[in-house]
Amino acid sequence: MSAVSGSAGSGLYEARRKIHAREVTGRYERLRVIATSALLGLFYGLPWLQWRGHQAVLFDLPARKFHILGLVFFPQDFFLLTWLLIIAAVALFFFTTLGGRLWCGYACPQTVWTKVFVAIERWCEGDRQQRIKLDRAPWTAVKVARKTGKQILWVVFAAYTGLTFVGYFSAIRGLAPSIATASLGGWETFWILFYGFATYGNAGYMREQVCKYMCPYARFQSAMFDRNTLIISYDAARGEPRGSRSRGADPKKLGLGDCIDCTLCVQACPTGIDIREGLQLECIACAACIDACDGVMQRMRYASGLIRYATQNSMDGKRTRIVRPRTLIYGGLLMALIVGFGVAVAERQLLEMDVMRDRNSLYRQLEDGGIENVYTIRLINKDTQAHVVQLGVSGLKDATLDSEQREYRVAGGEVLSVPVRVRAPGQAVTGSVEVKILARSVGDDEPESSAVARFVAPST
Amino acid sequence: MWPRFRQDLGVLLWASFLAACAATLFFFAYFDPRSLAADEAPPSWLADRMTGYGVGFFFFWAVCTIASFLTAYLIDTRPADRNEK
Repeated sequence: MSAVSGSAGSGLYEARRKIHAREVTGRYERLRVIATSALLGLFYGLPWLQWRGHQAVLFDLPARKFHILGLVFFPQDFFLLTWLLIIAAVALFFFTTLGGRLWCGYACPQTVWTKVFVAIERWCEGDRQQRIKLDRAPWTAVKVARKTGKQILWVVFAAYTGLTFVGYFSAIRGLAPSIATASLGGWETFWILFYGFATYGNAGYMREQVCKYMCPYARFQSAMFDRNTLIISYDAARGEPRGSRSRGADPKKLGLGDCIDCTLCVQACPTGIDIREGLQLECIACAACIDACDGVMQRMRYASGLIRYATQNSMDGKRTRIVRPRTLIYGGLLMALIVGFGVAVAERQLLEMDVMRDRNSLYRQLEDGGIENVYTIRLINKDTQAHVVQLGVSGLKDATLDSEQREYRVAGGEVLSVPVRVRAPGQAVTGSVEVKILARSVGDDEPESSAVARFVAPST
Repeated sequence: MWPRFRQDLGVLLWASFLAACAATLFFFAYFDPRSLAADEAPPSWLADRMTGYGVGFFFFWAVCTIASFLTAYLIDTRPADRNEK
């Protein structure tokens, strides 16, 4: 499938004219409003959700642990995050193959926040015609008031977005009061401003330019397309030759197609392309042109769908195949990854242990001729409930492990550092050998863990 | 001498930003700023985790920007291949 650049000959970076997309109503716009509201609600609401006394979703970077509902994840679980990102990527491929740029049109944060910023702009400055007029008009008091109002709302909304974003990493119920008392930490302040500014710039000014010039996905998404992928298509066979006509006139007599050349589809396009020239790289599949055109078709009493979601095959009068090697491979891979992820989370080791050798001394010779090595053991309890842990050593004859307490209580989701000494009789070991440190929780069927550490003794 | 320098700078900063995000994610998943700062060499103010992450991110961004800049510069100023045409 070929996707050509719509701004042919104008080069990649033409001096940017602000695109005032015409507002449309219709079923795809309604769908987007629903999707956008749901996603925004999720984003702004989730940090406030509590789960058994703590924030339900908190990526606690200062404490290096992630809380997701009842689960606690530690840096040791990083592969799960990588796995999740791979699932997201394959899901994107899968849905792109089926439905084209569904992500771009309905779910991408860039689209979602741009929608809000455009809505604020429309609320302050009026519809497309009024905005274009306002931009050309001299700076009267009304213009200053409208523009200032828009900026204030934009900045407040962007700042709140920044706060919410940081609230995912640093408990939001702590952030909000510290703003009120002006006791917010330096880095929190910085990242709220950073993310707020990024939102303001991207959604307020860059908008679909981000999709055109900055988004890597936009550049390679067409590789997932084939003749059975849903794309926004202009039915040229039905529409051409285009031309204006009075309402009620019979296009056949005039030798015209169904396109009345009203250019509403072009005015509605947020990326400023003309869909009638065919699928273009800039098209983010927002379907605004479909809504715009369907409205016109209705007024003209023509059948809707002159511009519609369709596959290349259906446009050519062939059958569209949903089940095909490409979708089977992506779908199968996606299912396997999701199932594997579920198993990996469920089978996660709930007690983990890191062993770090004391850096200051290799070993210490005891008065009775024994050899002693010092370690720091970090016990990581990923369970939600506390465990009482006993430590031991194996793999070295007659070795003993000595710690201050006989057993240690590690609360749910906590990390406990314990210094321990491992002792072995002098004649039992020379040089460097491996020993196994064991951590066993007290009780039946409770998690246990082990880690290999190096035990060093004099080499002769 | 560098046509469209401002736009290219934008692309270059953005690409480095993405790379720096990934680098920060992977690096700090395995290294705790607090234990990195336990050595003698790093200044003590780096020992704070938030500072470590923040400084780490901007360090990665700066390094990636340098690499992007050099790449763009070298490609842009590459002498024309005589066998081409």
